[in-house]
Amino acid sequence: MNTRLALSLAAASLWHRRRVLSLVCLTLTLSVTLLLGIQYLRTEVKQSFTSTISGTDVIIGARSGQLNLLLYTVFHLGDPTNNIRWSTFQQLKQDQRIDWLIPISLGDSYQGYRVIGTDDAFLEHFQFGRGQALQLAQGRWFEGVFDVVLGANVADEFNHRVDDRIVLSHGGGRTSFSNHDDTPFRVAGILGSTGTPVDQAVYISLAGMEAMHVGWQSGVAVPGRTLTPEQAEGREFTPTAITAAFAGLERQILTFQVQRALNQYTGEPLTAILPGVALSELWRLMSQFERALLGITGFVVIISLLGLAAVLLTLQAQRAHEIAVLRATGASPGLVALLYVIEAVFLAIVACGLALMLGAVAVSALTPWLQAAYGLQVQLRPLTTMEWGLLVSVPVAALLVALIPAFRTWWQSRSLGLGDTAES
Amino acid sequence: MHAAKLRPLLLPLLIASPIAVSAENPTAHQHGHAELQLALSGQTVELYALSPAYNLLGFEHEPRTSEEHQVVDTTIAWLHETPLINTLGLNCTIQASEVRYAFAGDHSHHGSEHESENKGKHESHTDIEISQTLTCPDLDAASLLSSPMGSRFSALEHLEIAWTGPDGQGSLRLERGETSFQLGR
Repeated sequence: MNTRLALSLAAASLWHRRRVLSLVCLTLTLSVTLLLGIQYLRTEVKQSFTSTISGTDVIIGARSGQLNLLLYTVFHLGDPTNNIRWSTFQQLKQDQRIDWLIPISLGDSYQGYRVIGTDDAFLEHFQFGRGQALQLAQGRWFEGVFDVVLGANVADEFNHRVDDRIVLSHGGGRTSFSNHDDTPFRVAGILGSTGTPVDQAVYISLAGMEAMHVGWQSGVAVPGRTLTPEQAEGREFTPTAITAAFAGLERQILTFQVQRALNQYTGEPLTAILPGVALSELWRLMSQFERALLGITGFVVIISLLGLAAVLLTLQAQRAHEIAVLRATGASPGLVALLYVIEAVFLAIVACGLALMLGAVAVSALTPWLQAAYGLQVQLRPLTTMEWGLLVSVPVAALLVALIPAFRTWWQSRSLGLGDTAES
Repeated sequence: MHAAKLRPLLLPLLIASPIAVSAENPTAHQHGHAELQLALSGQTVELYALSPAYNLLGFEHEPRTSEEHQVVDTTIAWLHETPLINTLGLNCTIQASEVRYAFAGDHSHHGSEHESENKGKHESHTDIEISQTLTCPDLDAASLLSSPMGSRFSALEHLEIAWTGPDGQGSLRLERGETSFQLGR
């Protein structure tokens, strides 16, 4: 069989039916883009999700579930069940197995964003992504009692700059009627964007957290008992409790031993979790949804391929005259059947190529919006093995689909009884 | 990832979150379910496994008959001698191992068994704890690993594996019949 002849005939046939086939190709392109896009986003979202925190070996909080502790310390979701004593935190600092500890104190908010009381260790040791450290985009880390550092999104949303004054609210929620009006905070710095929940919080010192609650009882400020910033200067503020602590260990191989020891801590009931393990578990629970989404998209591609088969079968009825001419000029039944296969595979390859280009343009265009609206760091990257597999499966599936009209044509061509003169 | 957007998806998970053990609480005990914790550093793996005795022995009461004693002896010997994870080349070797089983008594093959602290307190449930220190020369972040536990113990339905190492932390679950896995985030 002459391959060059088959290819030139197929090219002429495709060009002749370009209007109908371009619509089929467009349908296939969109469905492959959808399939590839879902798989691509699935990988990127997982990467973004599991990169929320890194470098922290253990998160320690009051007795709770591991997902609960993870959600309120890392994702700022839900509320803590209890606090841990400051004395416990101090004892943990003496533990030789623990390299560093970041205290986390929650409870207040700024315009709906969490206020996190912490210390210098947060800037020094907290990491996200693949071990990326926090960077200050403007100003410096808090030094004074009433200094505050803003997450990137908080600063963006309220257009804050260094040295702005802000008033924090007592308790959580976007609308609060209990504000710490007597103790406004000065914006000392603004953190660089991380694409993680870090961008959506404001950070103050533990002393600041204590100072603004002096004179507060039952969630209300008692008139005359609160401190002014001037009165607070020079005073020592020591917390009695904190919400949780992030810990880095001297030797990672001891992580599970330390976790077991902390979970059996006799001083008070504690829960120690491994953030990476908890994130994996959380993702595993959510992965049912993404698998369902991928399955639905797979069906979209199958439907498009069936559409391609339907078009080829419809065209087949209109090509009876063309096939008779081909057979009369010496084309074998095999060559005629091969034309259908070549045309279908060519259309699928073109659709895959267009889908790749469309996907790349879409990812490039949507990246800033995904970052701003959802905090997702989606980047243009080479396709994974699985994504290449999905892409290659489309022309293969098109080849299989094309076998239906190809076989029919081959069978009908043989019945024309013109012999197999072009077979070689 | 923004917390507010995730809230509707994640909050229901709080209800399902498991409670961690503490000094006052007995360890969770679920037949068919076992936990495996792996701490990796270079070629060394510190391994800890916790399983209800039922999964590994087929019973949880104190062994009474000679057959039951033989099952205990055979199983504990196997747990001592078999790396509970291995690389594809089966190159992991045990540097140290310890098996904790409340009724090991004098019937064990090795001298390092320790009686469980729970002995006598929760006789209706018994756990087996295994600690191993492994050396795996061909271990790296992309290694395909396997665990012989699922194929050795038919009563084991789920093996929950948590790991930590230089490439981060993670967890995965091996269902019945699954033996191989890869550590990856």
